[in-house]
This record gives sequence, structure tokens and C-alpha cells, in this order.
Amino acid sequence: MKYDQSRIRNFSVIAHIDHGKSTLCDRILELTDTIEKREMKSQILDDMDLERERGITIKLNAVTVNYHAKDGKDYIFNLIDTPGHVDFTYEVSRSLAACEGAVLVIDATQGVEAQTLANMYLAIDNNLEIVPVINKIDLASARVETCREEISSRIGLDGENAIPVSAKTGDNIREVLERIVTDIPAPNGDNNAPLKALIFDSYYDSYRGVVVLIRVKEGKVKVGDRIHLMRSGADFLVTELGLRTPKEVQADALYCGEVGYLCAQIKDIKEVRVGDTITLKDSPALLPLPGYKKINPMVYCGIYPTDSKKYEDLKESLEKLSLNDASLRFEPETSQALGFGFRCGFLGLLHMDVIQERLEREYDLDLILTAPSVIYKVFLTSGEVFELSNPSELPDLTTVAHIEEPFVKAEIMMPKDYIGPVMQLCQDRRGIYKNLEYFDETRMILTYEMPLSEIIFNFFDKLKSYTKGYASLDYEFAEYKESNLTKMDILLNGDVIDALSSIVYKPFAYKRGLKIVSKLKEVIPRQQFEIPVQAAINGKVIARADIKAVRKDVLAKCYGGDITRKKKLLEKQKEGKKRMKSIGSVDVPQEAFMSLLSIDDEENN
Amino acid sequence: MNTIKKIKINSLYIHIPFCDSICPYCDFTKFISKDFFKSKYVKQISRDLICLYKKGYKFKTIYIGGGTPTCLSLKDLRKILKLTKLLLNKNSYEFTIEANPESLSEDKLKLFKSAGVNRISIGIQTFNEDLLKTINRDFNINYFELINLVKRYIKNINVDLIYGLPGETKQDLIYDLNSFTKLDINHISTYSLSINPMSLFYVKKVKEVDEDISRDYYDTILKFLREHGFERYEVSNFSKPGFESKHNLTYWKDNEYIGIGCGAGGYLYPKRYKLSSSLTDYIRGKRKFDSEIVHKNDNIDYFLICNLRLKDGFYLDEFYKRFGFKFEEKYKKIINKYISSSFLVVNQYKVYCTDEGLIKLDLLLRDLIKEN
Repeated sequence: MKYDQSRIRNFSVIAHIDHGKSTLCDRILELTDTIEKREMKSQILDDMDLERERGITIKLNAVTVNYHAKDGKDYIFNLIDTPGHVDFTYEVSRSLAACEGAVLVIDATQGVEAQTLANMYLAIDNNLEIVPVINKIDLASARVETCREEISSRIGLDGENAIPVSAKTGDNIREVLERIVTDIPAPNGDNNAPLKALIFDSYYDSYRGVVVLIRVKEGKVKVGDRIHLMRSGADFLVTELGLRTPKEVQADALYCGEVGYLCAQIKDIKEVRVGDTITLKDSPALLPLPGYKKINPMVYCGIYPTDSKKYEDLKESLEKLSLNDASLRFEPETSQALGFGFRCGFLGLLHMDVIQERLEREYDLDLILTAPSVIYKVFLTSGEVFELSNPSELPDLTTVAHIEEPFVKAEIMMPKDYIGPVMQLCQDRRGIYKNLEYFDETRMILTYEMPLSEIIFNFFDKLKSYTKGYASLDYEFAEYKESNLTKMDILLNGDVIDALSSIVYKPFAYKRGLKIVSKLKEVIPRQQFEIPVQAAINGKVIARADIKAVRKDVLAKCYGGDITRKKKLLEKQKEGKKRMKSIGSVDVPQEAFMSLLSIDDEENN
Repeated sequence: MNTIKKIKINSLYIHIPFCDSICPYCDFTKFISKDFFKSKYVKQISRDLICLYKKGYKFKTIYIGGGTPTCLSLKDLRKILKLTKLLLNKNSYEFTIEANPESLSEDKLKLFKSAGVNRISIGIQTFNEDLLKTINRDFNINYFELINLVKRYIKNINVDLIYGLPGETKQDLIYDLNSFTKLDINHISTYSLSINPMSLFYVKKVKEVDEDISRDYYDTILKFLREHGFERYEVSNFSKPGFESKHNLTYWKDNEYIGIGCGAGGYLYPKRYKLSSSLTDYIRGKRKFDSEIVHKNDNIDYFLICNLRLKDGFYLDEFYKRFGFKFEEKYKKIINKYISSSFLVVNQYKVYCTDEGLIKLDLLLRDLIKEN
């Protein structure tokens, strides 16, 4: 189809998790005849297994499709998918910046959720035209009229304008497509201006190097152009351009308003950051596109290969993962207990989980992750200040003047019946009450300022169990504040295990120390000899438990029919033992390191 | 060459996979008795026995196990025993049959005696009524009378004792030990209850007793039986001197044996096999089996797994003869670790576990296996 800027519609679909975004995207693709129904995997935009499994979208993606509208004209739709979790706000904001409009999906049975609001604000922030859609009207519990009201009252859009659909049955989807044509503006921008293309995603291809997904905001780019990345400063030669339909279709050029992919034999992925602006080397734009942020991880943890020989493999895998994930940070570190590994930075816990799973699944690595930590600001008596992401690196406490930790503004939405216990939970976690307001007749939004470390520490699970799963949590960084913190060391058989050190709030230290040692006693299997586990602060032991010695370890029966089975069993056990980390004379299983997080603080026994 | 090989094989195991009731801890191949299947099964066993006879086998040990061999009818048992008689090495042999108290009768004992059965293994398990109920057993049998009856026909008697049953106390165990030794028999096999995935207890989510309790019970048994003239010659087996099970020693010394019957295992160097546990396959004459060619390394593993279960361990020069290198050199590091923790003894002639080592044998085995 001939290039016509006025016939392009660039849009995202935004939704709360499980409100049916991916299904709606599938229906849109079907109706635009992009993909034959039979060749469609369910939810084609979520192209990683992991995403499909967890029902969340991690990797951004974009698809160009052709739509023959009721006005008789053909339109080019660029559907840009966005990740759906609080950890990936920046990515969401960049993909929204590549659009002129957004389809907002609201679950007819759930109504407007806190997360929906957060995404809405992002969309409005990017001046997007919103097409509200009420999904799942096929369900008996759908309450379309209430949703309309909520759209008006909570979001400030005209609820009467919302399109009731069922992505599952396909009901009324064509109306959505028509409204995309009529309501969402064509991209503006000057095709003859100097090139400005927004990078909103990238992925690595072993043949072509980094493949960059771009939205041309101004000007055009052709194969053979010398390009310049305005934030990173790197230059490249364009070797390939094209559209993803979702199959790749090569093109000689991408014009103003278009969305497509670009290859330029980019090997060093650090030079391609989401949010950067591509311009032409020879006739550059004056200013880059706004909104670029070098986003900073909020949560750090150590990642070590169980088998120290796999260090290089881990390094390569992390490098590969970071091709698609600009927010993943990693740098080498050494632990006395765990050997060589990496201190990795993540946007949040979910991000960390996803990376761990991908490393284990896609790269087949056995890993040990240390308990995640936030970044502390350590003020030394010498007047020096530094950032600490690895608790074991906290210097001698006598040289520390004070420590600051990050606080976040946490917004919890829940049915009002649960306010009491949730407030108690927040108080127990050192929260500072800020606000409580009605969201609607049944739900309230509670705002607390809380240390991020407390949120990491099992907070979300607790919250879910206190509210029977009805609460949702949103948080953003607020500020650093001084706290009464200290380092707690864990000793196994008398030796400090650096990978188990953590920064704790002093008044909680004793209780937490007790919980940690008894948890470790539980997860570390019996050893050949009795091994003491101790928690210590400043060299002073505050809690102790003993891992029991093996007392009996032999199969009762071994006769003619059992011998092969017995050998296999022993081999399996031997493999299992290999997956543990030998620290001194103690075999420590992977989960011991993460178990620091799962101990139950509130349980009083 | 072939003939020499046959002579080397001294042991035969015959599996009878039928039971009148299912013991909830058992994960062996077994089926609730159906007479229809039993007679067909016996026909097939007979076929295999005849085949062995035609090939000229003479066994020094034969073991009929199960399941419950005694749940076969007198007629079926007679058919089998007529053939096994032909397979015995008349000069010196041990011929064992397993029996359940419920299905043992004087007629059967008479038959056994006349067929040359000279050892019997009776699954008593416990004297405690409540515990018998938990394992689905008849608690109305007077075991003293039963054993006295058996002794009139067969002198060499083993009884099985199970411990660590749900709800069992140490008093229960000591009561059992007293009762078992009063039976005045010469072999006791003791097993801690282990819950295997194919057993009824597993399905019912019964848990094994805590390791500390299990150890305490084991030590109690060891001490008690030693005081009563028994020697523990294998991890779970106790006998009066000279009454060790020769057949089971075949397994523990890692020697070859033939197994026949549904689900039975066998070892004909270099192959270990396990017959399919499908009853219908077997009675249709199909002998499906899984087999494993035992490579040298695996063979060493099997050798160690078996031999180290014995109180006497194995002779260093026997290891050398079999594998062509010295055990004490190859595994030096591991050996030293276990010697220094007093789990293992290596002297000029042999290697064996100490009392402490034997009860933690799998720690050592996990280090030893696959290290070649």
C-alpha cells in the first residue's frame, strides 16, 4: 500500500492484568485479516512462553496491519503492545509515546482498577486519544452500566462513548476498529524534516545483531543511511528496514508516522536504549525527542551459578537478556560463600523473577539468588557518602554515621472491609500513614509511605492473604530517609556467610534474626555433623539454631528386584546434592538464600 | 564357554505376584488373588522352569517370593515345586519360600518339606493388634502356635519385623522384640516403614517417622537382638551364626541370579533385567523386560551399593580381581574422609562399614558412585 500519512493509526491497548488485553489484540488481528485464524497461537503478541504462562506481557511488541474501513479506505494500523506491570512503567511510557491513541480495556466484571488509572495517567501524559472499551460483556456478571459510570467518574472520559465488546466471542470488535479510524488522529510530523525516530523496543537476533523497533516521528529513514543515536552518541549504517505484520516484510524506507524495525549491525546493545532518538548522521535533528530516562533499578540481588564453571555462561546469558531489557543491570561481584557471580539490578521483584526464570529456562542455568536488597545510602563519619546495593559490603559500623533507605509511596486499593488488617500490616512494616479515601462505594485507596525494603520483604503476599486476594498495590519511589538500620550477619558453623547478610531495621533485628535462623534450620538439610546457624549483629550473636546431623541414611531394603532402582535413587540424590552450594562443610540448597524473604514476621510463636 | 557361564549362576528367584490382602506399605508387583489368573500364571512359571531345566541349570539357592506365594492353592504350589525340585543342586542348597501367617497351612508345610524347601520366611511384621490393623492384617493368629507348627517341618525360619508404623511407640517395639525372640527362630529381617510412591500408605499420605526416632528404634533393635544372640550381617538382616540367607547374599555380593515371573529382576552379566509387571503380558506368554547393559563403571557402583551393606564389606583383592584396579587407591580421598569420621574401616584385606557407618551408608555411597 502506498504511503499516506493520513491513513496511519498508531495505538496501544492498555489494560489491567487479566482484563483481556491480549485476547482483544488477537481479535483485532483476526479482523484485519493479518493472520489466518488457524495459524494463530492464542495471544500472539505475547511471544514468550513465560508471558503466556504468567498472563503478563514483558516484552514490548508491535504489529503492522491493514484495515479496510467502512469508509471504503484502507488504513495502516500499528498496534503497539505494552507490558502490564508496575515494574515496567518506563517501557510502557515509551511505547505509549510511539502512539497517538490508546484503546483502554476495562473488565466489565471488575470495573476500573487502580492499575487502570495508573496506565491511564501515562496515556494522558503522552497526549493520547483514548478509546474506552468495556470487555467481557459475554459474562453473566458483567455490569456494563456501572463501568460506564466509573469511566466517567473515575477516569473523566465519556462513559457513554465506551464500546461494549467481548474479545472472547469477537462481539462488537469491528466497532473498535472503526473508532480507531475515526477517533485516533493520524500521526502529525513532517516527512521532510530531519529524521527523529523513537526507539521503543529492541531485541537481539544472532544474524543481524540488535533489531530496533522504532516509530518515525519526523522525516524518513532509508536503507544505507548513516544514523546517529542522539543520547548514546553512537553511529551506525542502516542495513535493513521493515514492517512486522507480524511476519517481517522488508522495506526500503520508513516514513514519518510509520512504525517498523531497523537493523544496523548493532553489536553493542548498550548503545541502543529504549527512549533514545535516531537521527541522520549527515543532517541531524536539532533536539532529541523528550521523555528519555536512563531508568534506575530499585532492587538488587546477587546471581551466582551453582556450578562455578558456569560463570561465563551466566555472563553471556545476562548479556543476551539485557539485549531486550535495557533496565537489567549487572556487574561482576565475588562472594566468599558463592564464588564469582553478578550483582544484578531490577526494576522490581517481578522483573527479578522473570529474569531468574528466563535464565533458568531459556539458558538452562542452575542459579543461586541472594535475597534482594534495595540501595542504601551510607553516610560515613568521614563525611563520605556511598550507595550500597550489597549488604555484605557495609563497612564497620563504627565508621558509619547513619544510613538512609528508599521510601516509596504505596497505594493500596481494597474492599473497605479489609482496611483494619491492612493498616495494621502497613504499620507493622514501618509505614507512615498518608491518606485514606473512597474509590467507590465498596473500595478504598490507602496511601502509605513505606520503606521499599519492607515491600520487598514478603509484603505483597501478606497483603494478598490479608485481603483474600482482593487488594492491589502500586508504588513509586518517594525519597531517601534516614532509618535506624544495621547489618545482620548469618554464621554457618561459625563462619560469616556474606551472601546471607542483610540490612535490618534495628528494633526488628532480634525477632527477625530468630526467624531467619529457624527458617535456615528448616531449609538446610541435615548435614554429616551438627552445624550451628547464628544471626549476629556487630559480632554479637543474637539468635541460634542447630542444623541436625544425619542420624540414619540408608535404605531398609535392597534385594534382587530393587538394586537398579536403588542405584538410580542414589544417583538422583547425588545430582540433587550437586545443585546445592557447598559452603565450608555445609551443603546449602538454593532456596536457603531466598528464604530470608519468605519468613513470616507476623506469626508469633 | 556357555556351559561354564551357566554353572556360575547359582541363584534363582521366582516371583508370585498374588496376595489375599494388600499390605499398605508394599510397592512390589502384586495383584489381589483371582484363581483364574493364578492357574494361568502357574502354567507360565512352569514353562519358564522347564526351560531352565532343559538348559541344564542347577541352583544352589532358590527363593520363591512375592506377593504371597502361600496364597496359591496346594495344587498350584505342587505344580511349581515339582519342577523346582529338578532345579536344585542336590549336594548343597538353600530353598526358601515366603509365607504369610494367614495363608500358611499344615498341608502346605508338608508339601514344602517334601519338595525340598528348607527355609521359610514369614511376614509376621508385628505382634501389636492395633498395628496389625493399620497394616491390614489378621490379628487373630497365635504366632507361637504357628511357628511351632512350622518348626515341625522346616527348621530354618526367618520372620519379618516392621517398625516405624504410624502410631508405634518404643514400648510397642520392645514388646515386639521380646515376642519375636521368644519365637526362638534364627533369622529376623527388620525394616523401617518406608513410604514408596506405589504403596497404599503413600496414597493415604502416611508419613515416615522422624529420622531421629527411626534411628533410635534401629539402635534399640540392634542392641536387643545382639543381646539375644543375633548378629546383624546386613543393614536390615539379623541371624544366629551360620543362618545368614545364602540367597540374599547372592544379591549383596553382587553375584548373578536369574529371576522369573511377572515384575522379577535378574542379573546375567553384563545385563540386568526387569520383567514387565504386566500380569496379562506374562500369562499370555510374553516376556517383556527392561534391561540395562551394565557398563564397567555402573558395575562398580552396583558392587559397592550391594557389598557395603554387609557387615563384612568386601575383600580388597576381590575388588581388584573384578575391576582391575585398587579400590583403596582409586577412592583414597573419599575413603579417608569416612575413615576419619569413623564410618569406614579399611584394613590390609577388606573394607567394611562401622556400626555408625552402616546406618549412614547412603552418605558414603553417594560420594562413591559415579566417581569412576
